[in-house]
Amino acid sequence: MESIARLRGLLPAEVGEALAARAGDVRELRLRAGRPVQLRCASGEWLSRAPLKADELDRILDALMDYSWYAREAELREGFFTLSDGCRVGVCGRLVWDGERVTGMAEAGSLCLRFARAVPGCADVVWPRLLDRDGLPFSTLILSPPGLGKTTLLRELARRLSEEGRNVCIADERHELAACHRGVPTLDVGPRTDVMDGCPKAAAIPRMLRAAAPEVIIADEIGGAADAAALAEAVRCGVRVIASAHAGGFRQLYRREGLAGLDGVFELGALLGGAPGHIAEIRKIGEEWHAFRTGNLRGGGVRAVRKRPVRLCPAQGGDAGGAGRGDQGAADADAQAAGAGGGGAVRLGV
Amino acid sequence: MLKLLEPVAAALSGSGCDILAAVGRAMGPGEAAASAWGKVSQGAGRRGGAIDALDAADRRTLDQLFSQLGETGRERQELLLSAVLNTLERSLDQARTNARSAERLYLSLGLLLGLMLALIVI
Repeated sequence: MESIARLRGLLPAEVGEALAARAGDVRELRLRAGRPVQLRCASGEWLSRAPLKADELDRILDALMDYSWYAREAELREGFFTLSDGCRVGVCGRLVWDGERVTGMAEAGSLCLRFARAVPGCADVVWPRLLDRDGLPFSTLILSPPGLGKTTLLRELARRLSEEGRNVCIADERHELAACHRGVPTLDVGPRTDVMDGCPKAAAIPRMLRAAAPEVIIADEIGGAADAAALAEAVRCGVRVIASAHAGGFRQLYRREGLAGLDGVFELGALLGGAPGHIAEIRKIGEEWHAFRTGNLRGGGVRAVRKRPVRLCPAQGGDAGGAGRGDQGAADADAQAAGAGGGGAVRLGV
Repeated sequence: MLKLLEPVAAALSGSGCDILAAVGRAMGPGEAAASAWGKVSQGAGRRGGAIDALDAADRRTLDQLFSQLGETGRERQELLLSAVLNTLERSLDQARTNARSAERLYLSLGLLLGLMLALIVI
């Protein structure tokens, strides 16, 4: 990977060698001023013996930004920027706040680099369940806490749908899905895929609808009402949407006020949990979400379910939301709701 | 392709100016604009080099530019560039004034020498 090769020359020798040795399965590199460097791999964690000096962190950050702060300024205000191969660099430090909004970042104290990688075949388990009779995907929301593989799964779904002959559009706000360089995807997102990147999803989605006549729109990390409204409009236009959102379980998702506009937009929810890339559960969420929001879903102090929630895949003892890092209360409530529906689900293990 | 907010190295490389393009090419992993300029200006500042004609003040202005190029946000970069542009424009005006004075001086000297030559020959 380009980022790893580049980082190797910037990091202290001990860390560079450790990174190169683990290039195949490293997921995250965490750099904190005055602390040991941390590598998180599929096979475990590695910590450097020596702490990283503050000036080393500054030098690495400058180099990763191509010595061009001005070009990364807007991204830094959001707390991250993305390298040309899709590696996301999260930056923590002292933000400049003018009383209403973040206007910049004054000092960086730590970096979290998440390496993007394509994992062919990671959608095999969900694939048959996502397609309707016409071979189009149900509008699907992929859920999990951070770091469990939502983006990787979305990228693989984009590639598969595109290879199956569907016109796919990706709203790639953070450059992570397709890792476009000068407008051209550097990661494999399929032969019939168009990408709009670098702008908010709420701005990209209407433009894609007008410009590219998509059959499927894919968007990562839906986070607010504007994103939700844009996706809802796409569905009303007859386009299928596949998106991801941070949530530890279905209940947590339904409780997210910023996503209330998505009630009725998605037919399926796929929850990742347990370990990166593991599909914990796939559930029909359209009616359940609406029932929750209107107070008709049993559990968590709301009234009994009017319609039984339908699960495509079932649970072994409770909600799979707990399999990730979700709150147990929500997981329990989900399990209760599942009980109300009579269970009978199928758990997908990957 | 969109060219907005290109990184420093790409912007310099595509500037169409040889000396700036050389700085852009010299930048790379671990090589900021200041150190790339240091290397390029060493070679280009030699006798007959691309910036041999610049005086010490002009070189200081360029050193200052490259020491801060890309190091700050957009607003500060714009301030830096406009400050350097103003300084260089003043230098250019001064150089033009000097050139006109020198032109008058050389014209007078030429006429005098021609006159002397005419007196000697005749």
